[in-house]
Amino acid sequence: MRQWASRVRPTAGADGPDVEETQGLASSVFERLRWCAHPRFYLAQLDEGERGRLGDEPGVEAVVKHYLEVGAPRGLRVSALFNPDWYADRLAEIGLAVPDGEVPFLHWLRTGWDRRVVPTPLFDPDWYLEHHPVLESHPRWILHHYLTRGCYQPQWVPSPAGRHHGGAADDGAARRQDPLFLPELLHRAVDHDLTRTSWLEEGVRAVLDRRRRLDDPALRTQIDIAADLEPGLHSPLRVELPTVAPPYAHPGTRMAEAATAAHSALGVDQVDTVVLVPHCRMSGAARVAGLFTDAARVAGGPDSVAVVSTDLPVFERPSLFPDDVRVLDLTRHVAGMAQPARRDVLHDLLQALRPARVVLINSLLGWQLVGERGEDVAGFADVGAYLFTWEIDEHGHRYGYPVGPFQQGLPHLSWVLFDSDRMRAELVDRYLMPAAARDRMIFLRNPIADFSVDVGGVLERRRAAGLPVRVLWAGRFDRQKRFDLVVDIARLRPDLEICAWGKPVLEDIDLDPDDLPPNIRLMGVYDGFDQLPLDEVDFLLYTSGWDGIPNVVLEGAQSGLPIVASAVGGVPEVVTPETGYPVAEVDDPAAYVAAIEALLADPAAAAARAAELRRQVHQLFDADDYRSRIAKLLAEGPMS
Amino acid sequence: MSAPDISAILVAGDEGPRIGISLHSLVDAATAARSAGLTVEATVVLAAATPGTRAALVEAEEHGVRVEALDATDPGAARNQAAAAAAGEHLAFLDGGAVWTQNWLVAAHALCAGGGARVIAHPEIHWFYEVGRELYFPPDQDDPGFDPAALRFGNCWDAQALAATAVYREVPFAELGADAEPGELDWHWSRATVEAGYRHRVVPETVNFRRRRPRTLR
Repeated sequence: MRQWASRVRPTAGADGPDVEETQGLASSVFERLRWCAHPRFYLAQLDEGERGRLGDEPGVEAVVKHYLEVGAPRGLRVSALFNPDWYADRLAEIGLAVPDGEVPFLHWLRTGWDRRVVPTPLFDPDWYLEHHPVLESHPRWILHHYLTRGCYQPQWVPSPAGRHHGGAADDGAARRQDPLFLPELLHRAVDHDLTRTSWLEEGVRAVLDRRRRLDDPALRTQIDIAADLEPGLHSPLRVELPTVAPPYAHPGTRMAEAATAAHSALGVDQVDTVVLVPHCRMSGAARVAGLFTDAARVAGGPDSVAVVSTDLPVFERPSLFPDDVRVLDLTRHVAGMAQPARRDVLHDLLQALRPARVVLINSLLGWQLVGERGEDVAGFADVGAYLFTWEIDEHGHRYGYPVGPFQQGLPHLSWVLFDSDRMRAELVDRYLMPAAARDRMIFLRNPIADFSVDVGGVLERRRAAGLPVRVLWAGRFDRQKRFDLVVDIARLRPDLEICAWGKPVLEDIDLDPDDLPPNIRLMGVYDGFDQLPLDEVDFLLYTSGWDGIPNVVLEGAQSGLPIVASAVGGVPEVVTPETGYPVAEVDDPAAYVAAIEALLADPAAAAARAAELRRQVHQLFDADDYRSRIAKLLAEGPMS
Repeated sequence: MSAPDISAILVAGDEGPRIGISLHSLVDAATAARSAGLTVEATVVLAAATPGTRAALVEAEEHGVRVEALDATDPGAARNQAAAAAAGEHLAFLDGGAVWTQNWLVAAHALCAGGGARVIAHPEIHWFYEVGRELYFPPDQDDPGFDPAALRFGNCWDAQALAATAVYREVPFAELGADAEPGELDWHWSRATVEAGYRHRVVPETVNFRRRRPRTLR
């Protein structure tokens, strides 16, 4: 029997969590193994079927178990920081070798670790300490620091070959045990036997080999002669910076392949319109991105439009976009790249797609591209954008796309669409825009959703029947949406039964479901406003602290619901004293209560306002009109 | 009278007295080349040179180096003008403030003379030293892992190269203006020469020393 087998075989009949018994490793060795395990790297060595059985994110425990049972006997690597050939060479230098039949990695965990043998070319302890002297006090072997912290944080430089990654932080890297250098390690993976080496390890070896060239006597002589002439070239008293040796470590190598891979993944050579979105999740902007994309597709035909998701690998609501429009998740291709690399990959992709226009719909990367390289982009495509609203920070100051990014991008923008006339007017006024600029700022109402609901009369029937007053609140449980006001309103009017639909998205507030007043019921997420029990509520409550024209207000309006709403952003363009109950004192819970009481005091009047609002939005927020205006804009430009 | 084998050109700008070190390096490399049997035309071109730089070069001709004031102030235009006036079969540029290893002209000329007219020679190492030693090993275009597409995102080669003088005339430097970022000129020239079919090769045992790595050289 091979020696490794006796050491990794689970003990028959063992139960309980004793790792000594169940995994056949001493607990200290097992702990080291856990530190070293890199699930995504391990998965990359498995075939599709095995990966499927382990799942997309199996976690460290499952991967370690699989490794000990399956991977170790097959020679797979569970740690990106263990290189069997490098380890064998370092062992040989101290007169040791891995005994025949033993798994080299397990040998290192048991023996090499205690002898301080560094098993990877990616880490140089002397370099690490010289460049991070604060680590002199690290209580363990310095490799332990890099294994457990350094490889997950961008600031640590482990080797003369540098950081090994593009410099971008990843808050989840340590939790997932994904070293930041993993994208570089898996670069050109099909060209390497990952059980032994990788693009990154070969690149670091190349750097180390080239640095050894400085020991060549002939070269040394030439350097010495030059140093006689200019002693400063040895940079005395300065710490050395990392060595670069392209093609390895040249960011352009990975960026070029990322741009090519992204273009290939999109599956189309050329498009007329590229829509840049940040991601796709529960938000009004995502819905508008879908509406615009649909209108552009109708105008240009199939394959004339591509959607590129640029900021987060989240695409929760693909149904918002037409089925036959191609969607690219660019984030997958630029993982680990810091700016300006991601910006430049997007630029390269756009150039390759040769679009007539690029449209920014809340894409941060898109706005950065236009702000910093707008002249380049405008040289091959018209640049259009949507602006919805600014944001407000915790000090009450405005920020967001209509502030800095708009200003940076303005010289290069062919047109800007606003769904709120107030937002447009504010920008035109602040910049005192002349006619030529004003004409490029276009107010265009978004069409209402494609469903037909009319709950007119429900309020009066419910009030006549003496049912409890039930309030609908729907949206994101984020700071902007001011759920804290809902809580206050619920406390002021305990007789109200407030049904709150939605979920936290930005997770920028503390919401403790157990600390809510009993008359608030959290109903969970909803898939479409028309799926809500609209005929079982009396009115819609809207409390946002800032916004453009919120979808939920439009959807409530088109359904015939009476609405009590904060008079922020573009809301007063929809909810007026003639069509609903706008609340001017938007931070004051008592003001909302007063509006609610006015609504409840005269259900017939409230119903009449709701009916008028429903009539107006069906007239003004028309889908056919939206499509025809987008088609005209794309065909003739903003002056049409 | 036949053309010299090499025109070695130092481009002087705003270096001030430091230009003397580069002038010394030019002289040493030219002397080494002459000792190897090559004929060398050594020149300093004054491209928007500051008074301090001019003052440091007033005795250059006593060291066998011709000094030529250029009309052009744009860095690319200045190099193009210098290339147009060069008499040598091959041309090597040295930037003001930089230093060659003494063997540069001999070794680079040997590579170009033996490798055909479409080779552009680069040192094995670029050694930057202002903020701590930083070594950059430029790629040899014949390396199997090299992908020219990388040039879309960053430069690989400095334009302080040696090549047949005809190369500089066929693929002139872009005139990017004085405000261009350091290294942009080199990057443009790298791309243009690759597109024109030239091969960038490295010359073993040679080094170019400069104070600071341009951001474009990755």
